[in-house]
Amino acid sequence: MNLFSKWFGNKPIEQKLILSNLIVIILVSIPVNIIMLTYEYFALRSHLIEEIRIQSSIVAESTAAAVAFHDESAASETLSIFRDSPYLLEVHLVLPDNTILQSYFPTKKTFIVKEFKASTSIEESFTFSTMTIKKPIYLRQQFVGSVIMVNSLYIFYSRLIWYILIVMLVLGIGFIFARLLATRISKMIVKPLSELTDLTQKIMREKDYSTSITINNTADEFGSLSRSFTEMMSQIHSRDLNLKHLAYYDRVTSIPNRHFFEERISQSVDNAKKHKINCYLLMIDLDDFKIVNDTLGHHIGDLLLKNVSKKLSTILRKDDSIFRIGGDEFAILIENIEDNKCVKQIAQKIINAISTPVELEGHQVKVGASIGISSFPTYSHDVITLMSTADSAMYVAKGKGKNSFSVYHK
Amino acid sequence: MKKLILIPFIVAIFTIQNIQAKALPEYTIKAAYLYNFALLTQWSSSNENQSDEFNLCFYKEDFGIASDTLKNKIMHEKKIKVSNINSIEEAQKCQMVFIRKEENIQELQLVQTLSQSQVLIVTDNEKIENSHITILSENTKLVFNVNLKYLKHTNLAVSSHLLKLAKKIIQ
Repeated sequence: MNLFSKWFGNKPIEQKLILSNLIVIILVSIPVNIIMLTYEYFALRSHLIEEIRIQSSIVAESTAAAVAFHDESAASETLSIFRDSPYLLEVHLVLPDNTILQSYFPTKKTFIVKEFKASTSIEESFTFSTMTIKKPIYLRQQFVGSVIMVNSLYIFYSRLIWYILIVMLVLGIGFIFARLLATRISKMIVKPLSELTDLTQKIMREKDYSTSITINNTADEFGSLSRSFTEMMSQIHSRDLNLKHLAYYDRVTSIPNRHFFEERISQSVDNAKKHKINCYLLMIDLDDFKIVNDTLGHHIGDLLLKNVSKKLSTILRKDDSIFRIGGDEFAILIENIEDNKCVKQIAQKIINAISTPVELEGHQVKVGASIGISSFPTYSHDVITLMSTADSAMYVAKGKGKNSFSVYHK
Repeated sequence: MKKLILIPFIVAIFTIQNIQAKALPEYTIKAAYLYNFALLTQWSSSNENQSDEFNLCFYKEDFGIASDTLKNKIMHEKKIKVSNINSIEEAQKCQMVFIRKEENIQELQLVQTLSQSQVLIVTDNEKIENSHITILSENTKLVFNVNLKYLKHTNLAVSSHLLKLAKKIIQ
């Protein structure tokens, strides 16, 4: 039983359902068929015995006069009526003195009966294959002899075998249909679960919790599981987005942070290599930001950073990327631009915007911006050199005094 | 007729086992036939009610011991009374009359008188045309003819079993 439980437990649910259905069908059909077969055995047997009894009565009745007159030819003629009887093997008409008046063998002369004794009582005896019946013959209530009939039970066994064969055939066909039906039903039951399993495996493989799933909106447990799974996926996706936002975006300004910048600059450089275009990097350092922070506090400092990022977003195109990469440092990635001139114009716009005083919670706040500009592949050959050259240019700009920009050159 | 000796078992038709002396087989067989003829014939109740016994008569014939086998047997719920008769008047009181093979004017007259009455006439003389049943010898066996032509004029009903076994049915 333990082995079966282990074996059964390891089977897929679809096979478990099919197997359990088939096991139930077999467990139900076996006793039902045994009962039916037993009933049929006794019904067929008693029916045949009744037929034989009736036939012996007919023989006794129809031969009575011939036996009374000892008319052998009339007796023979009467008995020959039973030549087509399917079970009669031999019949003997015995006179009261135990002599045989007439014997009749529809097929072959067998003489299964060994003792010929007339009797006024009805006697029946059975072997595996024959039934012998002895019946008294009366003519108008006058005992005139006995009829002894030997009948084959072959027809009974033949009918029984046919019955068993037909039952087995019907069972076989029924079993095949049950198997097909069980498979179909099992597939129907297991399908949503399989889909859900495939989906979870795909999500595990691709680690993509944003994958949309078709909700199995049935009222059963699978529907409930599907809805719960969808809700869980949505929560995980939301949490991931949140984590991603925390990981890639600056908490103060809500623009991408240094981590995001490092990934993005690599993509931009690759893209520039691939399409043979220029990629510009602008490194911005705010002038006097430390003073604002120290004198007006971090709160105002944060508000100022937000203001700066807002100004940058307004100035730049939609495709350009802005990052906060340090305390008062910003980086801008510009792609698909014609030449240095345009970049310089953008840098000047930025300086102008940032250097414009701004009122933050009743304080007039003014800062400046120093911008270092570099490009790939003009002034650098990879991400690191692009960043270092832009950084160098920024320090050059800082050296020039506040609110200026510098383009890197070798 | 002596070949009939070859059928010794006929005696066993009767359940009476106390036959004291040996009867001639021909008479024994005929006695058995007469018994069976009576068994397979139905008399109208009016005729049967006339007597409490079933009168089986032998006209100028004596079956001897063979007729004793019939005595006291029950026929149609009546005890069989075997009588040897010699006159037509006596014959009219019988249910069944056997007329001997030898023929003369009295037998013919008797048959003429009884042929349309309620008396079953059995003979072994095939020349007596208007008897009801005629027993004949054929090879080693006894056979019989049934004369339905004359039976129609009586109230006697002969069983189909008897007609089936008859050698010839005269209509």
